[in-house]
Amino acid sequence: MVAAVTENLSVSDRMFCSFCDTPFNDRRQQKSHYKSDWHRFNLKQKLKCQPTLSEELFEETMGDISSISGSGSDTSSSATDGESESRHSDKPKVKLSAVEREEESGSDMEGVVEGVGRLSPWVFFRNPQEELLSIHRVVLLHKKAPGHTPTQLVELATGLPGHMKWAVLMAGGGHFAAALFDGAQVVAHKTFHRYVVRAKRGTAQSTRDGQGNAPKSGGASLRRYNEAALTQEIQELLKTWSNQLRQCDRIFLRAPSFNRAIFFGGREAPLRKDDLRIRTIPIQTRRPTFHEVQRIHRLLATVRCHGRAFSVPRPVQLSPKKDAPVRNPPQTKPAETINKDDCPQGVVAEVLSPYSTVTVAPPSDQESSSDTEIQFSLHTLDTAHLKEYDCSVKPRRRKGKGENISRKTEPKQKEPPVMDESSRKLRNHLYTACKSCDLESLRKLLQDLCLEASSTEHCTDLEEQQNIDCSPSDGLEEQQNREGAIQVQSAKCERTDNVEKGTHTNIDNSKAGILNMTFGDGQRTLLHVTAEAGSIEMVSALLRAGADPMVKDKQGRTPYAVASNKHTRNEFRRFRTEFPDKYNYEEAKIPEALSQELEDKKKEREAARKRAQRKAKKERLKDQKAEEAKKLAETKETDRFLGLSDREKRALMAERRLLGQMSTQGDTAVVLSRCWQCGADISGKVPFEYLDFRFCSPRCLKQHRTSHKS
Amino acid sequence: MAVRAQFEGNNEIGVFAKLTNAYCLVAIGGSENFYSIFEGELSEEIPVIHTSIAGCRIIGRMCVGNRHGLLVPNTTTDQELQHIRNSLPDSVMIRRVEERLSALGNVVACNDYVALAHPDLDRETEEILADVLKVEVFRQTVADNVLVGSYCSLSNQGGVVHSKTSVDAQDELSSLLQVPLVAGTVNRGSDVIGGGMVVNDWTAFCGLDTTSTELSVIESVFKLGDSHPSAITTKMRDSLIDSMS
Repeated sequence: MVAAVTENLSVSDRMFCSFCDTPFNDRRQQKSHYKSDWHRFNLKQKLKCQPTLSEELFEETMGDISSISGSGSDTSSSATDGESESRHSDKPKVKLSAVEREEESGSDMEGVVEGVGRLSPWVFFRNPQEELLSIHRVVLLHKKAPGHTPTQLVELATGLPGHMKWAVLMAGGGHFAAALFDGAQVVAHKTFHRYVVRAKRGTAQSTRDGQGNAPKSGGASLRRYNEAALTQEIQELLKTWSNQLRQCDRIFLRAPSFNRAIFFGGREAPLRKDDLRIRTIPIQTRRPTFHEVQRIHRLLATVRCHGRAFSVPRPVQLSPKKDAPVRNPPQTKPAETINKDDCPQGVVAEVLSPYSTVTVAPPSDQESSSDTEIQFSLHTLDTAHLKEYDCSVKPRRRKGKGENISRKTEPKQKEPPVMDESSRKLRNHLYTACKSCDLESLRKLLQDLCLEASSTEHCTDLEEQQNIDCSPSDGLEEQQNREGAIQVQSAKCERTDNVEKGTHTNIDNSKAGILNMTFGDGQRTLLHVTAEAGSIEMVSALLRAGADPMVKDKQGRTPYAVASNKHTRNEFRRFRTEFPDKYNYEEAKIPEALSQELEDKKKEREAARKRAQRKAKKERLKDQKAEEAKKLAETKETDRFLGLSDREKRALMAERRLLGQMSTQGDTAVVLSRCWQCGADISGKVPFEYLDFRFCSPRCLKQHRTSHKS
Repeated sequence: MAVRAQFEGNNEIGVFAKLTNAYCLVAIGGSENFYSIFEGELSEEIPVIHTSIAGCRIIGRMCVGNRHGLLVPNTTTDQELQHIRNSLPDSVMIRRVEERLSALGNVVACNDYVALAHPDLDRETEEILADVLKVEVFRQTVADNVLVGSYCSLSNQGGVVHSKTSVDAQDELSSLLQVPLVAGTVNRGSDVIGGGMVVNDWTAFCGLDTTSTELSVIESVFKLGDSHPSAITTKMRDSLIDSMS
């Protein structure tokens, strides 16, 4: 059997395709047949168990569909789409040519419907047969083109058949496909592919490199090279096409992200960004292939006929704002209608707006009830939010804090509207004066303040006096209240608070209000500033002018606490002595009053103490000095002794011994040696000497020497 | 010579190896016995490259190639590509292909001159096939199967196709490919010829299950070894004898 099979091994000469049922004359014909679309179509038909077509029939039905590419299951469907289109002419899709005819026959397109709100990707027309037609907006208008009237749109659409030289360019993921069309004919086309996108990861190499730390792997360098090569190839191609591109009426471009640089980047960019012929492709695209380019051209060049019953689809509404009521967005234009007489050439009648129905429709009961429902649900949502916060600890604390702050800053918040320009100026001047320790100007300002307060508040001096009189009593009351508050209920506390608040608001606009105003983040008053600066006069001036020492800054410190030195603090205490009842000094943290005599006594005591101290110190210093002198003499002596030769040392020792003996024996002092110059007794002392002469002091030595030299 | 081999107890040699006239790819992770069969038979003439493709061992089904070039799917990693490129002879081009039908070995069958391709293969891939492998590409089916790579095995000398291929279709294919074809099986009756064996112009490797009949068909159609009757003993015999007598 094997022999039977293998014996007649030969290349068959059966030149026949059983799928297409055609014989061939020669090898060339056979090869070309197997590469033809007809063969492919029949092959696929056969695989789907559908009838195959003869060559003539295929040519007829397929017409302009020049390629049935392999990959992508879409191909078969698109092929059949084309078929169904041609077969069932009453289907919604109509080729542009058909519409061209229609337009030529009657250039009276009736109306134009333009979507408002977010721009609809379609422009709708209504023809005399009341059928709705739609064209892609980008085909008619550039995105940045100003709004057009319906009549202009109609003109544009009817003018389209004369402007059918289009170019479709697509680039992405290392693929590039481009084609130039004249009508439905492909004038030129080209595809490139380079390995650019990183396998498995999926981003372009340049994108990865852009993130820094560019990889140095072989693959990376390959991709880098390929990216550059692809750009170059495309730009070279477009250069050769530049003449044709210039003649194109529309250029449809698909170049996501980094691919834009291919077309618009470089010194000799193939395309210009401001070119109004360039339109982005408004539909979803697949990988750039010649087939895909053709598909896009087909879709863009198609006028869809929606029939009579079709109503214009609502364009995507702009998303409503959160707070605004949801219904009837105000940004939509009111429905446009063109009257018959307004329109030229009988281009007419109603321009449908998708919103017309929405806005005009009277709100029914049902609608309103649903509205209230919506509101209700919103309300519950809000409380839910609050509840959630209630449960957790942090927000509550924050809430408490917030309340605190709001209470604290209540007068502050109230102030700005109340405070007029002049007082604010005054306040600023005051602050500057305090900050710069300018006593003169401060005094002047305080004087001004008094005047202004009296004038602006329309209160006489008397009243002010009353006010001043009143405020200490207020303070008293407060103090009493405070003392009592330990036993009293919290309700009463509230009342004191109220009282406090009342007084505050009463004097808010008075000079005290301005004086006790807090500044900046630290919430410091003028008094804080001056106390910290340590300027006694200014503190006293401020205090006397009515600055409140009880006001605390943000860290809870009173002016007394921030005072930089004792004198300033004493100034506060002096003030307390002077006005023992004016403020609650416990709260102001100012210790007990400092009277003049107390102060004097204290000063005296201090002075006495200081004197004694000084004396003791003097004595101590004297002793120290004596000690030091003694020590110095001793060291000098030893130095001199060490400088002597051994013989002399021995002689000196002997001398001393002798002296000692004599002194112990109680004899009168014997002079063992004398100074060579002055004759003073130098026995037992280390002498100053030169050559064989000995002296009591260096002075004698010097004298002797000079006298003998001469 | 046709040789029997087994990869880890599996008879589908065509799945785990790729054999051409210029190189041989074998999957990594096989037994030493498997490698020694290939290397003993081939390593004097062509390199035997141990590799994976896209991390898979089914390299025979993933790639397609002949003595001019090698196409690998785009899932092939850079390292693998680098390794294969370093191991291949300089005359062989290697190319990564972005193709939806990524098991290129299943959708393309080729020798050094012609290739059969899956009807749905991308046009670009077809162009690359023609450019890199220097072949004429025909979209065709084998016994109504679109996986032409799986159901046939081709060399420059001949080819084996699915056993259910009709005589007409065989003739058509044979005239198209310009090589003699035989409908046959490997691995004791398996129709998956491409998956069951690898072949080049002077040797073939089949699964261990392949019967001697199958082996002899394979040897004769691919003109391997000495077994096939030479022209002297067949066609010329009668005339020779005539003249001698």
